Amino acid sequence: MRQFDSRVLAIIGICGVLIPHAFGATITQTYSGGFPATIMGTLPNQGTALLENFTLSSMTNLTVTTTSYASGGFEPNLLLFNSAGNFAMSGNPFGTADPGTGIVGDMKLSESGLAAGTYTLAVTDFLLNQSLTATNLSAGFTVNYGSGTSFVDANGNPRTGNYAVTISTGASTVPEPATLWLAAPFLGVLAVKVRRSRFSKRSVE
Amino acid sequence: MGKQTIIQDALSISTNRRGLLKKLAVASAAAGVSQLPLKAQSPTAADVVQFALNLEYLEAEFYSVATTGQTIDQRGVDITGTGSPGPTTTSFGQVDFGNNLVLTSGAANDISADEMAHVVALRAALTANGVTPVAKPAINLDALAGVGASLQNQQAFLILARAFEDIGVSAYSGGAALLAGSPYLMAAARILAVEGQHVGNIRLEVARLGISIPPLDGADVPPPPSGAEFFSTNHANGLCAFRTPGQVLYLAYGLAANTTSGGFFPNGVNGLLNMSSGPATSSNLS
Repeated sequence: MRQFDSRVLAIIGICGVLIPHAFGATITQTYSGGFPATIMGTLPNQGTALLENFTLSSMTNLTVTTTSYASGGFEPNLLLFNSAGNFAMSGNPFGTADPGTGIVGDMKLSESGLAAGTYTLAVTDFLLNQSLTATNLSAGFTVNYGSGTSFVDANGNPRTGNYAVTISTGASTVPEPATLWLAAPFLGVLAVKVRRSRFSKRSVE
Repeated sequence: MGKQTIIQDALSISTNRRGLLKKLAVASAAAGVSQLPLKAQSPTAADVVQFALNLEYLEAEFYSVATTGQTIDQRGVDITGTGSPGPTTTSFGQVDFGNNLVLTSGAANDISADEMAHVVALRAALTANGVTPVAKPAINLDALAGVGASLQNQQAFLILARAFEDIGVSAYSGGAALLAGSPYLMAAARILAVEGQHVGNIRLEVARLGISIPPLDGADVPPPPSGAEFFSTNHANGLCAFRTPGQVLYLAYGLAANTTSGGFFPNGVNGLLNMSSGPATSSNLS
């Protein structure tokens, strides 16, 4: 597994840009290596989002997990956007409750049969979100309830700005809840008809 | 006024089977068709389930497009059957659930799976009892976009989801009288319970986020901040509102009474119960 520190990514010139936003800042990076890969670094404050760009060369299963909460990092959000900046999916709490805080603080995002293309993974503190009226990544992020400066988790425990995100591709061994119903006997035959073209706006009949 | 119209009008203001049959008899006599067999036009339990299937198609399409950008048939659900099939249309697509703090994305995914399964379950129940399910009719998911209820963004999604879920709960409650003793009762009761869980979640999020929601009709109980109640119940009796099929269609057809199409169903719903009545009132909470 490859591991990259975000500062290293910036130094080697892949891409590293701090973009101030009306409500929250963003740090944009582009990862162009192979998978799996672990992206590590430190966000300067609660009001800054990491936007990690990466490309899938072919249709594949994607799994993204964080492991940083367990080692003192902030409680994250994981949000995935397609190349047009349209929302694709978000992560869910993953792992076991931290014995010190009682919180399942790390996240997992996974999808099977994700189309080839460039994606943006947003890694933010759990209090840094898009507005309720956002329709695209370009709408940016807003700090909800938090100070926007120091990191705290849902129970108010102080955290660091450290993050560690692992991006994996290939076979998925765990079926997703949203697709489990397709395994019901009466739908077994229908399951083969499932087609996925998640990211096309105006895609309905 | 045609016989079917009279019968459905009677159905729309009847809260139990005995009252319904009495009104149907009066209505038939008034229309000069008392010599015709009443049973031929009386809604059966299967008709009520077919009506519910139309509503489940609407909910399932709404959540499916919101969470994946795809319609339920694109995801493998059979939508064929009797009546007039039609496309699902919207100028929007998958909702940007970029506000993970409110957990709407996870809840929407769960609800979407439930609603698709409800379509499958109702179709299976009808088929098991020798009834061909109705086809998914044409659906316009943008019917209330002009008043901020649509797939445009997370806030608009929550406004429309709240309406669908509260209407769904009241529709199953209103159909209960006609389902008594039928083979569909257990499935309908269990679906009603699930719809109740859905609306509880969504109402709480609407309240937390301070989203303004106007009342749909006289029986609607908007959550805070527009209303005062976190749950859509009448606390005096601890019960939720019921709506007859006609009252449900009044809302689904875009606040239109005595019509057979409009709003979310531009070509109407499929099945016998396709006529809207006047709106529900506060008496629907008693």
